[in-house]
Amino acid sequence: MTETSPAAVVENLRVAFDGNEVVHGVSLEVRPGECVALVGESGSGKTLTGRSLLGLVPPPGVVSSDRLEIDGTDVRDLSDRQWRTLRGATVGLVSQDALVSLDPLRTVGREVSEALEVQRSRTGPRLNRAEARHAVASELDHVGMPDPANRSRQYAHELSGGLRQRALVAAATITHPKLLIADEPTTALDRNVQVQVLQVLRELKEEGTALLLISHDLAVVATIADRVVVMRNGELVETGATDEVLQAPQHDYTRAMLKALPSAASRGRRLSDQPVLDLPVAEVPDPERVLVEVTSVTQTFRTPDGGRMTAVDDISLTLQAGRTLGVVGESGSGKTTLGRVVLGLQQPDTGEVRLDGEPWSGVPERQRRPRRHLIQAVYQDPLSSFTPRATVIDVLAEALALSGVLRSARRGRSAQLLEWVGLSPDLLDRRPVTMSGGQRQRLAIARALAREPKVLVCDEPVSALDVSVQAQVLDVFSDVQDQLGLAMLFISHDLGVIQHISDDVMVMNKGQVVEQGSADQVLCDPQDPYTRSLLEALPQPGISPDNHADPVPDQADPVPDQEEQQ
Amino acid sequence: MLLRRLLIRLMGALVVVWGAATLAFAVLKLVPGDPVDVMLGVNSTASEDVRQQIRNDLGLDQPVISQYLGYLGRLVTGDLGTSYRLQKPVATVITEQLGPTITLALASIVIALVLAIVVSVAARGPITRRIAELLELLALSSPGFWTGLLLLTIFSFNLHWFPVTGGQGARALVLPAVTMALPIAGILSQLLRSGFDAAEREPFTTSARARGLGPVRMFTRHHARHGSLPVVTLTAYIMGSLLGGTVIVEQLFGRRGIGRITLDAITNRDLPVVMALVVMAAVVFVVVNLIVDALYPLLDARLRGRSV
Repeated sequence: MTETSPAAVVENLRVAFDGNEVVHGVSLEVRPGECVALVGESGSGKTLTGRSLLGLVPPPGVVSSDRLEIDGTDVRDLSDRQWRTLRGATVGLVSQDALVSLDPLRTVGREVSEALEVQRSRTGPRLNRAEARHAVASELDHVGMPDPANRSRQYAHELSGGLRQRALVAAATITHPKLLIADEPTTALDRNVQVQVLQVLRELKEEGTALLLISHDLAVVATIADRVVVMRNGELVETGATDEVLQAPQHDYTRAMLKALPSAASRGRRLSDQPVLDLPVAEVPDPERVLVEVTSVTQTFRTPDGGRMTAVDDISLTLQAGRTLGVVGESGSGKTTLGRVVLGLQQPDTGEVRLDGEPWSGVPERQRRPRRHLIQAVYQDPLSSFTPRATVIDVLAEALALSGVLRSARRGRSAQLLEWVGLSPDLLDRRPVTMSGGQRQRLAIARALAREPKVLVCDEPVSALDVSVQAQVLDVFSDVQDQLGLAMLFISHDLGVIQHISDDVMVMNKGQVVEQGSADQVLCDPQDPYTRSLLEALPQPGISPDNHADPVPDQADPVPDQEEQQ
Repeated sequence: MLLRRLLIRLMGALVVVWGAATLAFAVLKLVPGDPVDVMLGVNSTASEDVRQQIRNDLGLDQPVISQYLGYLGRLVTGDLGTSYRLQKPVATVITEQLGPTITLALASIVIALVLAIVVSVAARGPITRRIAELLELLALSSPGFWTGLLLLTIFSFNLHWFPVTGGQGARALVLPAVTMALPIAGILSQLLRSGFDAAEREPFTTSARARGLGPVRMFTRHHARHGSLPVVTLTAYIMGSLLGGTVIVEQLFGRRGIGRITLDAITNRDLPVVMALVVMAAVVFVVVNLIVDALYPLLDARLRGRSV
């Protein structure tokens, strides 16, 4: 075996469940020191492809292929017992969300040492406690965990998201596997933390680990992958060097996917191919009219240990008709609380909220209720905001009834609302559970519009959606706002989305406003170091990934050549 | 901080016991008829003077509120009153019977746990799972008096392995304990299995599998603990209810115990005994609750450092 013999070879991989094929002939190769990214939306078969390389396709899945090799071993007909000697030792897995991917009842140290214990129990003398402790500490240190000795005695829930994810990486790399499969390893993390975890993976790659990175996020892929494999509906769509695929995509699907990415560059242009929606409206509020005025609002909460934490600290903002204020910040920055205060669901400790010129905070709910229709909300997970047994017509009719629409007119009006948001009226008798994520979010928007609001508060409304669906829903928001002249408060952790949709931007950190102003001003000429760090952490696909100065760029180049020689 | 939390817990426990004691007292006052009649029996020929004397002795002629306060006061000092019928202190009556009940309850729980663990662990395969489901259903749905009679018929009358009724030794304990354990084992085994199944579906299982763990290690290192969490709670509550006595099994096997005296006290309207049993049941459940609460954070680190 030579240095560059591939760590994994997959040829014509097919996975079927009960005779129903879901992965149709995927081929790829990962070499030591190389990162191959498997990119696709949900249902593309990328995770199953990764699992096939671990022998962990869930039953009753059937895997077949022309070649399936890990580190030179043909693994097509391995028994589970034989697979177990490979797993952990030769091929490792880093999955999404370490909070649930590490056993919550065991300490981080025990989870990290597990693979080594198992490997040693097969190959050599048992791992004693001192050795285990030493190995765990040095591996945690290797993935950049501060204070590894103490951290290893803690539990997953006691660590921050980034540290947890590092622990999960360490649990896979402690045996120095040749091949590491990273399945959405940074998806649940804030951007800043994503960058750190990606750096850890990049270092592993540079040390010679073959990395198969599975991701839906082209931005993540751009910063680390040498080659990209694009998948869609179980089929391989396009493959090639990262720069080529991202900058000169050959396939329509890849092109559409790249076009669908929201960013500063995509402002004012449509992200999807769907036609512009047509919303015939009688009355549009005067443009720029101030609809919501928040003055020096502070909101604190009691913490479980008896203290108080300030979720929103002295924040002022205005929402104007026809304009979108984007609120961006990491998890825990107070964005959602701010949204609840604006919606009048949370009584602020100090400060005032005015809606359309009249007091909104500090008045009894009885007074607020007749005006609630003016301000409506769209959330990340619309399904949990629909009654599970309700049909689409039930959902919309309830909102229409509150607006005083007569029973006889509700069905017709509901059909019209569905058309507004680009849904077919045929869906009226469907249940939201049977609809796709994008359809559900459109329904949530339709329900909000049923009350004829002037203000829309959107809390992470596209965060759970695939890129192409996200593009469509963002276009719906743009069309709705253009034609109805709504004021929007758009909350997101995703700076790309905020850049795309906002007229004004507010950056939050730990309950405080870090920077506030027009989108151009804040995002093109950030004054605050925190905003700058957020912007720097934002990878720009389509632009060369070189801004993340790869210390050994030469390593990536020879690989495709050798591939051709074979 | 910890001390404060403990104090709050204890206060809550006391309130529950006080509530149970008050309810028991209210029941006594609501029951129609003269307690003195009950005490003396239906055929008593005692004169009105004697009856008045007894009322005086028991404080029954005083206003209800001072009776109540006196009752609470005695309760605090551990004085549970005197049984009308047995003319013995209630505390003595109960402690005499507590031994056999505790022995039976512990034996049943241990047998049930062993059975449940064996069955649920054995049921990890597709065929054994079906068999386990069937056995659990059978154990759960068979009434105690029927199982007991069946066991007696087979093992006592035909095989003569165990005594039919009464007896004190370990041999006398086996059949009643098994009779009580079977339905409990059915519930616990179901709970354990669903706990293991739930752990199987968790993402950490995939991670652990990717580290090369086989089914045995997977079970001992990860799933056993996850599956046992809910079982701890349920076992404790079952233990609590068993200590309150199990009338049918004690009656069937002619055993002494709390269930027996509960039945006697209720049929004979021996109200001080009934009241004391109500308070005792409350105390048992409160104590069980406290133990479970204390145990949980040891098993599940996520619950440590959480407020009440």
